[in-house]
Amino acid sequence: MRFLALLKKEMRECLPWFLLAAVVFLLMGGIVLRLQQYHHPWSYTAFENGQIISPYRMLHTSTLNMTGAWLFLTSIGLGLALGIRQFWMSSFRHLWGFELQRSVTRQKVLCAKLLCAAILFVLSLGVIWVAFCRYASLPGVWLLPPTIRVICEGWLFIALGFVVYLATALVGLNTAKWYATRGLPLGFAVIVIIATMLQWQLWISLAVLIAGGAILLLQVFETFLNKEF
Amino acid sequence: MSTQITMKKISAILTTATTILVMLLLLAAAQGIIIAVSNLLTLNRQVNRTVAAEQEPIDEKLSIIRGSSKSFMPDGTLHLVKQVKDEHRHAVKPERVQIYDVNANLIWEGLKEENPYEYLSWAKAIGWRDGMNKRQMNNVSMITPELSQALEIPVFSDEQVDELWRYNSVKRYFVGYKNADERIGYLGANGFVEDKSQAESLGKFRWFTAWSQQGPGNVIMLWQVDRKIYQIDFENRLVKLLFTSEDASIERVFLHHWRLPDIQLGAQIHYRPAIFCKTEDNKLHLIMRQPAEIMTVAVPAKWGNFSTLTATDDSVFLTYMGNDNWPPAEYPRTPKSIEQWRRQRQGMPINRWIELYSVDQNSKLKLINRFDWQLPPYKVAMVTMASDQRSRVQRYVSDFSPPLYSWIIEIFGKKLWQWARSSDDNIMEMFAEILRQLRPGHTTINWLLSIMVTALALWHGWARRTSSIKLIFWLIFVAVLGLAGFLVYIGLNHTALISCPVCGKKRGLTRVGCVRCGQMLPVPRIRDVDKVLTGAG
Repeated sequence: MRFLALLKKEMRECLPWFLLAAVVFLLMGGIVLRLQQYHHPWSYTAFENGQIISPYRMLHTSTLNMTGAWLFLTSIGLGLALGIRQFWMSSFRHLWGFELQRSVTRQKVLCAKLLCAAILFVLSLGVIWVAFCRYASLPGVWLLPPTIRVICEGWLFIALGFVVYLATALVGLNTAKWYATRGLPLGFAVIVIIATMLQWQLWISLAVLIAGGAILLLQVFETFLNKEF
Repeated sequence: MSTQITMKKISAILTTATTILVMLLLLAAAQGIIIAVSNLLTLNRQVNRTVAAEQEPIDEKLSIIRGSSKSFMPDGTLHLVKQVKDEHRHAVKPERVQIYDVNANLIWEGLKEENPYEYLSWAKAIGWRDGMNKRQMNNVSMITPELSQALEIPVFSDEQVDELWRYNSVKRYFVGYKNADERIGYLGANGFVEDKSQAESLGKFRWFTAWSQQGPGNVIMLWQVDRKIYQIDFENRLVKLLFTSEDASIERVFLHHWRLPDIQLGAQIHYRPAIFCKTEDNKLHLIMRQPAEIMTVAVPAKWGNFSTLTATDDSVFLTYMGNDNWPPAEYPRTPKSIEQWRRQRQGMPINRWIELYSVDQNSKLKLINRFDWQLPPYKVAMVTMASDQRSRVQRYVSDFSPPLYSWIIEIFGKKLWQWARSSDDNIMEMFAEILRQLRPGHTTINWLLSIMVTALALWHGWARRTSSIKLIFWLIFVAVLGLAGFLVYIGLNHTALISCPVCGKKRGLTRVGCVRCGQMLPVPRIRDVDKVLTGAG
């Protein structure tokens, strides 16, 4: 019950950011997807007779490419916003004492925050991404459905946003000076994003993402449970 | 409790690991920026120096031989064909050529189109613009913020897209669509099938090239996998297996008149469309059409990369270009032995030759003609002032790199880059390239810097030490990783110092007892205002 109450409190506090991310992604992602509906067939141009064809003319981005770009940006933004809201604001307003001096363990407080963030990522971005993928598969409207790989890449972007959230949380919990090593977790998150995207095999991208996320998660847990607030 | 301690230790290790990773990359970025800025600032100086180097005198006959292409006629006659260039070494327009015999005597000069002699043309490699290899395919498969790309081939009917064939890189076949929900079928190794369960994989992709047919303009593709070459016709939904190598993987594929007919008016030599490929067991294969035929020629190992084939209506020819400056095939290929070979050959003239063979029905070679020439020894490359300065800046900036880079290169040597290249992993290649470019330029300076930062770390950590083992670990860490290691050490271990009330020396606050005299930290005196509850009355 207490955990649920904590969860509801976190959801209430993060509601504006969840709504903002959902609205931005729905609006911008929807507009570019609709535009793609008209422009995408024109990307297939007839080849001249009796010519050698450049292989790059046969490479095509998905119908969801611009929507994917908005998903990537919104996911990173949501990660930063939630991390700042949940971990930085309490430090700036000196509210940690109020948050932690309750009849619940620190573990429950932290788990409520992390679970809230995970739920919001899925609800605000994941559900809308699934809806866009479904729309992009409609027969008669599109020439080709998106591949499974493209759908998975969207979820990868959402997971990258969560990694950024963990890094932002760690920056907020870090006791080092701002001009010293306090911002390093965000640098690590950037390395994880680049390393994830440099892979051409999806399973290796996933492995890199999980490894990076696990490292940050462990550090968040350890710092939060042992820090003297 | 033990779980907490374990988690704390693991977290400390991970914090150190992630911090050193970020710091190494930041240091590499800073070094790269300094080197790049230095390159930009010295760009103009290189141009001036290059002009001065062109004024050395050379032997005219040798210049003709060296600067011309050696072209054979079907009867074995060799001509030296030299393109006429202006003073800036650009080909004149319209193109003019000079034809010399093997003694460098001019026998004809004029416009290239009016050349009365016709020479054998050879199978050539396909450039990156006309073909796509595995590395290029991997690069376009990378995830970007706009998601990854896919290979999609449209089939047109009345200028409208009738079908779309998309390559499935996991299953390794093509999937055809009429629209988003209607799958036509699958094009795999066993041709066109409608049922997904029957579709067979084409194999591990290596390279492809594509062209459009005369008339409908739809795509035909030559698709090379590890040991096979397919030709795929998307409009007619046909997959034809052209060649299978039973014993070894295909190394390279060259084409000659295969994709599009290249019939020149008045041409005397008529070629059969051919694909020339070399396999890893040093065999050369010629896959021909009109009529369909496959010929395999076994050649010595050192010929492999320097020979090519061509097929006319009457004969099959092979040409080989030799050079005694290259080590023989059986010579060990370690960095030290290659360096030893180069030193042996320094100052020796270079013998080169070109041979023309005919290949009979039994794949036996018969020498038709051979031409030899000798080049003077290579001079030491002129190091321009600018490039000298650039490399000097790079060497000095690289001295701030960790000594660990030098050790890795010493231990693994060339294997490191060979492994990075063969793994097709961009990150491994990136790290290998960072090691190569930022390897410390001067070992002495690098070690002096490393000793200096280790001494700084010792001075910093002496008063703050909590255990000897921890201090020794950090000193070794800083010594191995240099400046980056020192920055990590400072970032993770800097704490405040106070003066010990007993001995007066500086001590850290992370341990209870003073490191010098063992005195405990002073306990604050309890004052009346510190009491929460006062006594009765």
